[in-house]
Amino acid sequence: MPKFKVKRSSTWVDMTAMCDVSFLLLSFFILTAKFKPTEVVPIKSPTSRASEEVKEDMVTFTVDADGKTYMSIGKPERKVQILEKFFSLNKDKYPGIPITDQTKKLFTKLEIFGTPVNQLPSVVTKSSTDLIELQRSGELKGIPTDSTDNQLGDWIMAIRYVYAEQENNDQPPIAIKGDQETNIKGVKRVIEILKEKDVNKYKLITTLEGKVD
Amino acid sequence: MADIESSSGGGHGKHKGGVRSKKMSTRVDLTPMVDLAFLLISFFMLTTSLNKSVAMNLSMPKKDKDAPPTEVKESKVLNLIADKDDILWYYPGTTVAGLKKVDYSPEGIRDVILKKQKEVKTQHGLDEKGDSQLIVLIKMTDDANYKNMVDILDEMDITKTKVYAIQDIHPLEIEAMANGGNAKTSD
Repeated sequence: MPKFKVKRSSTWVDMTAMCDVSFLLLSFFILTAKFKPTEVVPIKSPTSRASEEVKEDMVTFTVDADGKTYMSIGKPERKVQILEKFFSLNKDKYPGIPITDQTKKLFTKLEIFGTPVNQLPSVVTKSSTDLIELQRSGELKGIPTDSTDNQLGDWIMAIRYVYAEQENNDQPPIAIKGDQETNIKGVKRVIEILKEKDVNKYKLITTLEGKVD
Repeated sequence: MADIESSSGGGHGKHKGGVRSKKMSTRVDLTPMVDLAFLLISFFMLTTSLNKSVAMNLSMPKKDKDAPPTEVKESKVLNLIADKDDILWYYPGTTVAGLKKVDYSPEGIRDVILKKQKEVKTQHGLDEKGDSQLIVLIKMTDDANYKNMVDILDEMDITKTKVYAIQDIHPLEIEAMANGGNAKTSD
């Protein structure tokens, strides 16, 4: 019988390839991860078991811890349309507010809007850090919702018109986002106004249950 | 490959018959680096997926003042009233009496709803889709907070209660809550 010599091979595994792959993945995840932007209005949403994903193109009404209402429009191209519609629908109601092309351009960049409409030309010129500062000091008054000066209702009407004209959508994608500590009155008022304006379907934005932040 | 060819004939010209440089492997063990990379990957993957907002659908009835209120059987109704400090009151039927306090824990409100669902099932059976026929009326005092509302709506989803409505609170109910459960003047 011939003798066989078992060839002793090295147990060294070349890790280079694996290292390459893992760092590639790592850089991919870091680059694609979206950092949570510093929000102008800090909101701590309540948790729920709901599982539907939030779409980016919704119009969100935010109610902060103090019960003030803000509006943010997800689709940039809708912002100008809604702004123009708002003023063309309410020409007599809000006179003397200078809306230039520059104002419209700046409004498109505005992340969240939450002042009475007469402050709109001045508030759009502020940077987001200024807005955060204003929000902290309580100078952003929120969109008025009382029945005597129901500007939120006029905004909703403008939103409905724009979505009906542009997307043939009778029920615009509206979401309500509220702080979990906020008094129910503010949210109830927004729901009431939505009902007045015949918007019956909307979403409540919450965070996934099981995460405590 | 991670190793670089190390030439053995390095500094031959200067030192004739000098010190022979020892041939060392330039191979680097990359295993810890791979470990680290995967650790970071898993960290990033876990942290990014957790911070997600989710939406909850809410449909309200159409504004129609002329429409007559829908008649419902009293035995199918359960009222929930969210009060301040995370207190929740409940009472069955349409007569404001015998309000009881409960909390938002699974042992609290969920048990109340499930018990009522069982009662409704024995009396009326299930509807054609196989869901409970229980009707929950949700009311909120002005002192309740938004979390309470979402919690109740979430509970509706958990207990698979399909018929619920958010209503305005009745003055009698406010009175009953102030008196600890029963209104003085009940009608």
